[in-house]
Parts: sequence; C-alpha cells; structure tokens
Amino acid sequence: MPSVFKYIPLAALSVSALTTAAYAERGSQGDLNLIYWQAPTLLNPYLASGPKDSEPASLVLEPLARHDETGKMVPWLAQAIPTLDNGGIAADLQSITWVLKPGIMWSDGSEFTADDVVFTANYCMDAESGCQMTAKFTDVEKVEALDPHTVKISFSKPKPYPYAPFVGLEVPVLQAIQFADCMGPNALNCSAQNLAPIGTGPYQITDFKPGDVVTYDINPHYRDADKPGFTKVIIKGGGDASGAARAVLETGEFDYAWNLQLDPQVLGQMKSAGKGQVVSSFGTAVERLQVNLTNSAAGLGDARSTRDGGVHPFLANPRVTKALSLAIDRSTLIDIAYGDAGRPTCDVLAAPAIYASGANDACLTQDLDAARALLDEAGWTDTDGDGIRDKDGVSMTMLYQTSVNPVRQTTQDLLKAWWAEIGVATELRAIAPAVFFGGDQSSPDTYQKFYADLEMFTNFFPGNDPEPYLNNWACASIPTPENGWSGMNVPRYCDPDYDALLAKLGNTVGIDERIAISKQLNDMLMQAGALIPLVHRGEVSAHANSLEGVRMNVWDSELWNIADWTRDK
Amino acid sequence: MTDLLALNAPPTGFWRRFQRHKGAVIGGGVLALILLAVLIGPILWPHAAGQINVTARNLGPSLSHPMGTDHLGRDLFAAVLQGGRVTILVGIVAMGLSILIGAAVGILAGMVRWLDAPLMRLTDLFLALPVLPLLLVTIMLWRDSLRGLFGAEAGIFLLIVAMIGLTSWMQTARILRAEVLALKKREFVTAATALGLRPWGLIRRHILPNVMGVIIVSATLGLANAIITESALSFLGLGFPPDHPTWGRLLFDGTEYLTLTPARAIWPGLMITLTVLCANYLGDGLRDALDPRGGLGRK
Amino acid sequence: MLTYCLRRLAFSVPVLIFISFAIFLLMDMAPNDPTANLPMSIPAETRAQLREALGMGDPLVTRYLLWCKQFFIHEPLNWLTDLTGLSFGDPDRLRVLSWASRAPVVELIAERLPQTLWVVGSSYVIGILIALPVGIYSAYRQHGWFDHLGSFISMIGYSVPSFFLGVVMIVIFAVKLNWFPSVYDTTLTVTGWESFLAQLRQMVMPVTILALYNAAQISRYMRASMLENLHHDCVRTARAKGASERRVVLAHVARNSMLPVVTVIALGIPQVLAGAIITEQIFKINGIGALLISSIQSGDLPVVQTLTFLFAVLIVLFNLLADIAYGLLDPRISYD
Repeated sequence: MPSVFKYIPLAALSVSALTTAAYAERGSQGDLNLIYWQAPTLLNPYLASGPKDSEPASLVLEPLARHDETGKMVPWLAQAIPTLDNGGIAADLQSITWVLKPGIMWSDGSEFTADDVVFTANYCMDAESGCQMTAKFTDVEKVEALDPHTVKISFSKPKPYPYAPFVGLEVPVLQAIQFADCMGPNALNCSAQNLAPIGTGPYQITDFKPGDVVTYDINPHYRDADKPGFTKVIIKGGGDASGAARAVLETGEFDYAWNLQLDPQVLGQMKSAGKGQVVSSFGTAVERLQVNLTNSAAGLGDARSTRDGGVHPFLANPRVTKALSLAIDRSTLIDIAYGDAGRPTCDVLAAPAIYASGANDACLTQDLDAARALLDEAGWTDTDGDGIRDKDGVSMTMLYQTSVNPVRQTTQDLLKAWWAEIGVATELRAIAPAVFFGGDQSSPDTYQKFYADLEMFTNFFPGNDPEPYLNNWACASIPTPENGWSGMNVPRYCDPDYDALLAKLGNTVGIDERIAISKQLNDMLMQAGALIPLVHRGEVSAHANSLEGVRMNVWDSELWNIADWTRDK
Repeated sequence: MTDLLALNAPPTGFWRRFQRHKGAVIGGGVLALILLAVLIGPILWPHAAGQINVTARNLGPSLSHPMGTDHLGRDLFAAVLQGGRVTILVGIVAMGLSILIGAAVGILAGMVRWLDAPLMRLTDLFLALPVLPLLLVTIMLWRDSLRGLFGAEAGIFLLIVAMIGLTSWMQTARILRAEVLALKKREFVTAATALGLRPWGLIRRHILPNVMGVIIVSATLGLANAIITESALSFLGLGFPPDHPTWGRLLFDGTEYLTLTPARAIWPGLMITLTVLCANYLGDGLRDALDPRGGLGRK
Repeated sequence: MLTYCLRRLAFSVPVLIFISFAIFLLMDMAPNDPTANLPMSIPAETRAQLREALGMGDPLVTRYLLWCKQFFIHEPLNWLTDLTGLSFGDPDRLRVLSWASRAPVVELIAERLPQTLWVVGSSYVIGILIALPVGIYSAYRQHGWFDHLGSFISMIGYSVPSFFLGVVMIVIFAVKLNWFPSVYDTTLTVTGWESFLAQLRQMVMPVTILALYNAAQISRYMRASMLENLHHDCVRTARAKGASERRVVLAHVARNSMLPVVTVIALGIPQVLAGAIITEQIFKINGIGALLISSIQSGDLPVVQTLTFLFAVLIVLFNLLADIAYGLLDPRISYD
C-alpha cells in the first residue's frame, strides 16, 4: 500500500516533535505574546476576511487535515488521509470518507463527532449564510455521518482532487451545538459565536476585543496531556508592519510578529539588534504583471478591453512581452523591495516545487540589448526621435496600474525606469485596494475591467493542487460586460488548445501526469505572453530568539503547531 | 473682534505697529523665502525629483544630496522642493476658496436682513460637522472616481482643496458678518445709504475696503490651517498619492525608515512646521497691527 | 433660559438627522466594496452572496431607516435592559452590526473608548492646568520675558503638527533611548504600583503631545481674555479700594476672564477627540480613532456611519453646553 507508506515519515516526524517537547509539561512555559499588526476582527474563518482572522482562529478551530511546512497533507482530527489505495476515496472518484480520531473533546467538555462535521458543511453550503468558503464545497452533493466517527462526502461529479472540504485553516470544524441557531441568514448575526467559537484546538478564547486583542488560555480537554507548553497566549493587533517588527526584533516586547513585508534594509537593520530572527516560507503566491491582450483604448466604448474590441496594438505580440520581461532586473527588484520575502521567477506556477516548469528561466537575467533587439525585430523603432518606439503612428506608451501599496509603487517606479531604457514609455497608476479589488460594477478601475495595458497584483492558490488556479485562464473565465466582469482570466487569453489540455487535466488522476500537464499549461501561458511573472512571494515573520519550535508554514496557519512551541530559558 | 478704527488710521501707523512685531516680520520674511525656494528651486537644483538611482540608495546627507536619498536613490532635497510646490499650492487655493465662501456668506448675512438667519443656521450646521472624520471618509471613498475624471494629480488636488475649503469657511463668515453689522451702524455708511448708493456699490466702495484687513488676517491663518490639514491627511495615507508627494506624504513615507534614514521624516516635517509657524506669526502680527489696542493675541 | 435651551435642543435634532443622512448618502454614493479585502481565491458568486447577506442590495432609504431604527430605538433599549435588568420588548432585536467583525458597533466603540478617553482626557486636563496659570501670568506681566517665552512656546505648540512631533518623539525616546514602549498595550489593567507605572510609561508620549497642543491653544485665549479685563474700570476701582494685587488679579480679573475660556474649553472637547485620530495612529493606540481609520479602509460602513455620527452628536452637545455655561456664568447675558 504505497500511499500509507507515504505517510509513515510524517508519523515519525510528529513523534520526533513529541520527543523534543517531551521535557515540557502542559502549561509550563508561561505567557506567549504574538503581534498581528492587521488585527483580527472575527474568529469564524467561514465569515472571515483573510489570514488575519483565520490564523488566530486556528489556535481553537481545527480541520480534519492540515498541510505541514513542506506542503504535505497531515491528518489532524482525522486518523489518516483517505486515498484511493486505502479505500478512503471511492473508485469512481465521487466520494471521500474520513475516519475521525476517537476521544477528541471540545473545549466545553462535549464530544467531537461526525455530526459536527456534517453540520459545518451544511452551515457553509447554505446560500444565505454569507459563507466565504463556498468554493471549498464546490460540487459537494451531500455530507453524511456513517457512524459517530466516519464522515462521507459525496460529489456530484468525479473529483480527482477531493481534499478541498475540511483541509486547511480556512475550513475547520465548528461545534454543531454552539452554532445550531446560526444557520442561513442568521449566520452573520451570531456575534457571540463568531467572536468566540468553541474548538478542539490547544487553546480556548478567554477574551476577544475585535480589531484589538485576543486572549487565550489552555483548552482543559485538549487531547495531548503534555501540551500546549504556554499557559496563556495573547495576540495583539494594530499598528503597522514596521512597528510589529520593531517590537520583536529591537525592543523584545513581543515573541512573534506576523506578515512583515518591509524594506529589506530596514528589516536587516532591525535584525542586527540580535533579539530575534526573521523566518520566511514560500507558498504559491506570485506577483505578476497581467498583460492586456485586447485593446484598452477609451475610444472603443463598450468594446474596450474585450475580445470584441480587437487585439492590443503591440502587447498581443509575444515578442514585445518577452522584451518587456527581459528588460526587468528581477534580482535588483527583490534586493530593493522584497528581500527575504521574494525570489525571482519566470513561471506563474512557481510552486509547489514539483510543479515548477523552469522552461522559461531565460528571463531571470536582465538583458537590455536582447530586449531592444526583440522590439526591433517586431518592427517597433523610434522613427520620430522622441525616445519612444513607434510603428504606423502608434507609439509604445503603456498605462500600468496596480493597487496602492508601498512595495508595488516601488516596483512600478523601477519597471518604468527599465522600460524607458528600451524605448517604452509607461504611465503609472495606483488605485485604492478597496476599488481595485472591489466588485463595484460602476467603477472603471477594477482589476477585472482592466482599462489599462498592464496591471500588477499577486495571486495564489491554497493547498497544493493547481487545477482550479490554471482554470483561471480558460476562455470561459474572461471577464466581459455580459458576465458582469467576473472571471479571473484578466489578460483575456483564449486558446482552444489550452482549454483542451485543461479538460484533460480535469480527468487525470495520476500525480505525475497531472504535474506534466500543469507544467505544459504554465508554459503555454508564458509563451503567449499573457502574464509576466515577477516575484515568487513568500511570507515573512519574526520570532524572538528564545522561542523554540516555530515551523513557519505558508501552506496552512503559521500557528499550526503552536502546541509544540516552548521557550528556551 | 477687531476694531475698525485701525483702517482709518494713516498707513504709516499700520506699518510701524507691524514692524514692532518682530515675530511677524521674521515670519513674513521666511515665508517669502520658502515660497521663492519652492517656486524656482526645482528649476535650479540639478537632481530631478523622482529620478531613480539604484546605486545611491538610503544615503545620508552629503554635498550632492544635502538631505540624503530614499530607498530608490531619489534625492530628498529635490523631493522636498517639488513637494513644497504642491503643499503650498493646496494651502493657497484651499484658503482662497474658504475665504471666498466665508466672505460671501458673511457679507450677505450682514447686508441682507432676510438672508441673515438662514445663512447663520447654515454656518451653525457646518460647524457641527465632524470635519476630520468627514474629510477622511470623503477622500478615501471619492479619490479614485475623481482621479478618473480629472487625471492623477488634478483629481486628488481638486478633492482635497474643495474639501478643505468647504469645511473651513465658517469662522471667516461669522467674523465678517459681525464686522458688516457694526459697519452698517456707522455714519458714513448710513450717509451713503441715504444718498441712494445701491447695495452692490455700497459693498464695493465702503464695506469691502473696510473689512479687507480682517480678510487678510483670516487668509493668513487659513493658509496655515489648510497646510496642516492637507499634511495630516497625507500623513494618514489618504492625501496625495506616493507618486506626487507633498510634505505630508514624504513624512508619512519616511516613518517606515525612521531607524535607517530619519532625515526622510525630519526634513519634510520641519518644512511643514516652519511654514505653518511663519504663517501664524504673520497672521498674528497683521492682526495686532490692524488693532490699535495692540497685543490682544488671538481671539 | 429654559425656553432658550429647549429651542436650541429643538434645532439640534433636525441638524443631527440631516448630518446622519448626509453621511449615509455620501458613503452610499461612493464606490466602496467591503468584499474587496477578501483573498482573491474567493469567487465572484460568493462575494455577491456576501454583499446580499450584508443587506447591500436593499434600496438606500430602507438601509438608512434600518440604521436609524437600530441606532435610535434598539440600542437605547438594549442599554436600558443592561442597566436595569428588566427586559423591554423583543430581546432578539437586531443591533447595528459591523460588517468586518459582525459584532455590535456600539460594543466595539465601548471597547475602544476607554483608551481614547484616558489619553485624550488626561492630556486635556493637563493642558488646562498648564494653560490657565501661564495665560494669567503672561497677561499680568505683558511684554515681560515670561510672556515672550510663553507666547513663543504656545506658538510652537500651536504650529508644530502633532504627527511630526510624535514621529520625532518616537525616534528619540522609543527607538534610540528605549524609554517608552512603542506599542500601546490595551490589555494592561492597573492593579498595583508596577502596572500603574507601565500605564504611565505608555501614556507619556501621546499625552505630552496632546497636552502641549491644548495648553498652547487655551493659554492664548486665557491671556487675551485677561488683557481685555485688566484695563476695566472695576479693576481700577478694586485697586483704589486697596485690595491686594494678588486678590485683584485672581479674584476680579481672572474670574471674569474665565468666562470665554470656559466656552472655549467646552467647544474644544469634540475637536480634541477628533484630533486624537492622528495621535492614535502615530502611537498605535487602539482607540476610536484607530477604529475609524481601519473601518474606513475595510469599507465597514456601519462603523464609519455610527462613529462619524457620534462625533457630530458630541459637537452639537458641547456647543449647547458651552452656550448654557456661558449663560449661567455671565449674569449680563439673558436669553430672550
């Protein structure tokens, strides 16, 4: 049974984690102070607005399985990861059966059963609940308890990757009793429950001031008698990233600071104070330029930035986008703006490592001459002597937009300067995030309307299956006025071959074959010049030198193994 | 309230009193210097604001970069000169708008009896507005729409100027109304009215010249107020965008680099302080000079 | 007097209703989307469902009236229930809920208010305590060295923007000298000497800055008001009657000069609270100012609406109080 075999090293790993913490008794380590400068506002991940809420909730609420720091799935409240081989996944790929660990208790002393899992699924799948994780339950037909410790999730169609529901920090199990009155439209009004959910995790919430501070103490019914190490945990919110970094690295007021996207030089200087260390971890997030392959000229009216409006005067030519990509010095960009939080990349599917294609790595080194040659080849030269290339009366001037964010503005400034060197002019725009990422149909400035030539943002996919992510560039996902500008195919890329290959991916089960197809899809996107990847972005956090056991994890909650954390005295 | 006898006194008296106020003289002089610097400075200074130089990042002060450089190697002195243009322009235009509205409302309320009550209620209403929260909300929510309509810099400029102007005219209106009411009781105005001078002529020939002093004082203090407000908005990240930095914005951007290059926050902050201080001193001096009782300070 | 107060109150009501509607309208017309901050992996249909669940699809007037009902009827009833233990009406009535945290807005504000009040309140009291003697003595020895120094310092305090002074203080005292903490701890409860000291340490910087600004403003008014009264006939009479200089200044002049200053102090309170938005931002105090800013950024309309409205209520209320105080203190004024 090869798949069971696959998880043996993991079991060994958790045993070793146990032994390191074996000296520690439950609650012997004192207080732990964490700083989340984007303060948590609500602790129910199903209604939460992002990691700032779901991470603090992960101390309390747990899923059936998590991803560890290498991205591997580990059983958490379940006994094992269901697979085809161990019979957990049905042969027709239409259902998955989870067996729960026995004897797990909620922090109020009641027993954790399959009914809680069923309840949670129904809670989120109710269309009126405002649940934000509905995408995790796509195609789920029914969730049922076969016995108090067995849950079967049935899908309406074969699912080669059935690990979306109840895997990861965003989809933990809620207590059925506590949330019984919070179904449907009531979900949003259950303030008491949403602010202090009861969980199975190592800690329970004692006090929560939304937008300010969460205080926890040990869950008396936690399954491991020796854990957690720290008696009391405080997650403090508010301020900004530099203040949080200073509080850990320079003044030592806090033990752990989350999400420190700061100027590398500033962070480096703080590090030199010697009180703490910076840890980073890379997930699937890639900061990329989206290239508008359609014409965004304002004169086109309703056909603006749609395929009906025709192709872009120069960006639809892959030579031009290749030249733009070659003109970028990604290493310098990372030195200046990202530091530990970035690595250069030329693939939009840059992680997990097994999926990274590497076929496009030619763009990693800046080559201005090659870029100029490519543009010359494409027929774009400076005929009127104004320093900007042109052809047939069209000059190479681009509008480049992104959201307001210091790192993004730095990137914009740098790219503009490099492109000026190859004779391409750029006009910069920074739009407030609430508008840029907002779904307001009446605003011309959303990333989906894309009334510009280039735009920049980060996208990622949770977990480690890229299929839904690669689906973003199917022809059907192009935002248009007809579909209310929804869909993630922002470059308006449409290639029947790509769609055909995607369909094939959807029916492929073997992991090696899935990897090969995914790489091929990535390369198609890169060669068509639909996207220009810039930086593979990581998460950066800092912890005090005295804190031990931190295993920075970008695939799940950074606090996923907080029960194992100890203090070196 | 300022006494108007001052305006009928010979101008030499005004100048003598103004010159006696050392702070005002120095303030006026420095203010003029700052205006001159931001006006012609960017033309003379060899570095352009916003010119990236990746090899000269986060430098301390030197001869070629007297205020150092930022994280992209841009010269801070050039940025401060350029930023000052925007800051001071915002201050002047917003102050102009505020004075215009204030003067119109104040004089109308003073001159036209039936407009007095409604206009003063309107003034009360505006005084009851929570200005800073309202400014924040409006700018946060509207800046991108206006940016789309008028272009990057013009949009936010118009919004900020309009919002500051619209929320700061009330004091001027109140003071002017009181002045006009007091003037209307004076003999020469009564005489002019008796002689059949039309209201508009009365305003132009008798009222306006007599309230000019009050308007000038209000304008100077309004300039200081507008600059502070704009800087505060920019400091909260809700003013001018990073690609068109004002002093407030430079200060805001500099706070992240406090430990590395404190100059990035200190210089723009000093410039705001200096300008506001000078404008306040100038306003004080002008008021004292216009008021023969002297030395009354701000009321 | 009573009729005057009632008339003023009667005028305040339409003003406040108008302001609350204006704020609502302003925020509704602007492009704003509370789902914009969600991760990109959340699909458009889910976002649309969420907006629907938040009630954003209803017409403007419906939402405004709902807010009015929740804020003006449900909240006071809840408050009464909590206060008296009796139950009034339906206990499950809906309260004004924040979009971001799904918690009642009034509770959020109540949680944030103590730290704001501590910092703003103590700085205002300290500011007044400094301002009054400085103003009195400056006027008494007009053009003396104390007057000049005082005027200069108050001019500085009045002109230096708090966000600049705050930043400079952080560089010096928190970063270089490490005397004061850089993050304000809201969980700190004063239980003994040590926690009291900790509380003092974290309040020193914000309080100093706000107190300097308040003292600067109030001392200017106090000085001006004193100067006006020092030359009054009654002062000459008192002196002629042989009253001691101290008595003349303190009992006659200062007392009369307090009148306009009291009004200024009352009128200043709402402004000081609003001004704390900036101070809280600099010193990372999680007070109502920080709540306002973060709510604006996350498009949390109910919180912004309620907070802005509360600021308006404060302004109107203190205006009224100032007027009444003036009437009570100054017998020359009659309200008819």
